[in-house]
Amino acid sequence: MTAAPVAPAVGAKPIVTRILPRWRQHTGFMLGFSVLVVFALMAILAPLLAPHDPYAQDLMSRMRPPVWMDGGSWDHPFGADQVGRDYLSRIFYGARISLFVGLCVTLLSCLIGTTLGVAAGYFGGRVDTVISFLITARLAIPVVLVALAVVALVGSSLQVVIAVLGLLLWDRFAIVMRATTQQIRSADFIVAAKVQGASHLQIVVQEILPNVVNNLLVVATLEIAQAIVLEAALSFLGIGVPAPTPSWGLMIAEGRADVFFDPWLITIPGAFLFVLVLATNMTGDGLRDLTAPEGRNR
Amino acid sequence: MTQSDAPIFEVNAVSQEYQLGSSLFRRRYLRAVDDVSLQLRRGEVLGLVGESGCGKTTLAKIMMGLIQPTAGEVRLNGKRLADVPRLEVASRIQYVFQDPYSALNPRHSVGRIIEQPLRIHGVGAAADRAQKARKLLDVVGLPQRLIDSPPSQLSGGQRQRVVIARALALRPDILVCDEPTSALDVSVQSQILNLLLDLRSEFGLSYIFVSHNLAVVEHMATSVAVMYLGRIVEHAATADIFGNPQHPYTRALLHSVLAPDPGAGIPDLGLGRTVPNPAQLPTGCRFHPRCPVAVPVCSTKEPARGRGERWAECHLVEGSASAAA
Repeated sequence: MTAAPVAPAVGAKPIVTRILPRWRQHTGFMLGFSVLVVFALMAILAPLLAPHDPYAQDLMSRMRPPVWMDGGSWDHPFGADQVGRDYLSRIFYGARISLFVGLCVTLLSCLIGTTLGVAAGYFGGRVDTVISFLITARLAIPVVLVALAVVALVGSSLQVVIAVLGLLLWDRFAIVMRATTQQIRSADFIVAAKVQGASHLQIVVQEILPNVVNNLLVVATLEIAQAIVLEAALSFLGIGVPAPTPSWGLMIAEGRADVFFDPWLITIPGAFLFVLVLATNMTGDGLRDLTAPEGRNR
Repeated sequence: MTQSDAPIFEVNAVSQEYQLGSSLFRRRYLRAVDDVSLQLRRGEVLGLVGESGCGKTTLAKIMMGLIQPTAGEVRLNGKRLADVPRLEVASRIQYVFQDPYSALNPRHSVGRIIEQPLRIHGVGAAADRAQKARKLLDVVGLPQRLIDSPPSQLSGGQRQRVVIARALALRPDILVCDEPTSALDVSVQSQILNLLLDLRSEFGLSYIFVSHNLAVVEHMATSVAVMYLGRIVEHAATADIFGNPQHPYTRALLHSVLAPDPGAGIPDLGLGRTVPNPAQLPTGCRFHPRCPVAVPVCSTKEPARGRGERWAECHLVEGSASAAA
């Protein structure tokens, strides 16, 4: 009966275990992902790792330089800021803010963007026209201006930052999801599901989403990086996370006055921000390579 | 094959028009299917043949309820298809796709794909469904070990077997097969065709078998409808079509089958080189510009529409309604 070439038996192994060896060989992904894990641990374990209370002011050690410069001491490895708060502790707690904002914003915008994008791609026609207009309208809105206006109205807080960014950063999700859904909408297996009597919701959840979840992951990692940078930018402008909270953007803003005499006030949080965003982007690029259907692995 | 008399599936005067674009003064339409009526009885295999672009696939999609026809109706067991609930239609008619490579979701395993209709219809618990999927693998002659494989590890023939297993999961009465073997290697085609024939007797299925391959249709069908530019120009039992074709187009189609003689060359059908344009139908009989035996009346008067068990829409055919006029 089966004269056709016989496929190798693979057993019941899930996809993850089958492609895991390929992940190990992808240097960029492994490097980026390891750094991300370190940052995540740093954020989660901040209360255990931090040598000082990040809010405790100590006027005796104000503007203490980091340990590798003249006048530094191991008591404050990264020095202390203008009011004597331990810089290392604030970096650790700042990682919490950055990652928390990145994840929450991405979750919120992923939900909005994917819903809109899949609906536009799947239904097409008028639905697509309306949603495409929404996307274009969203792209015409400058995020920082909206943040300014909202902060002026309701004041600044962590929740406001997350809400503003989450409600504005869904455009890339929507665009990518719309395009990928359009590609597979007319595939025969979608028609097959219709012929079997599947509802629109069943088709979207069971047939379309499994085929677009790769792209979703890639966009999500890149979006996390963007949200982290934007949070820092908003905090730097004074319309993000409010003052005593340890945020890297805020730390850069507070060090601005002393940039010519104590540049480490800016370079230390700047370097952490740079490494975190770089690692997130490398993870995203790696995911894109590794989840591409065939080949493309380096 | 025993056949009861009441048709389980009817296509009544179905037409499908597509608008090609409109200007201020006139709109142009393409009539992909033009006033087609067909009947299918239990156990029958209705072959639908015609050249590319004659409307075969459009008609098949109308039969599945995937396209709403612009005129006419499809009846399933006497009820209008549009009035039958979605899930009931699905459990009565299923579709076998032309291209088994795009008909299977690349992200699902074979077992999951075969279970999918049962899942949508809420049949049984998860364990029951897995059990049924394994049985269906047996039915279509696939080894059990493929149940967890993704479609990418299957050959074309194996994929088409999965497509058939999925179509059978709900125990339908009718399978609409849209060129089920044209994407497959020649060596695999006959296996799939014989599988379909075996399943027909095993499950009491009726088929609507769309194809451009006459040899396949002769092998499979109990009756044949020949389609030209959206119309069924001849309809008859398989033996009559192949033994005694009436319509000049059917005769040309039968001659077009290449003989296994390398010296013979491509046969001259007397059809000319003009490719028909469905957007601009000729006046009179739609076949007359290519017809080798056309007479003057053919270009002015449309032949009478065929009805019943056997017909040929041609002025020259004895016994057709217009031959007497």
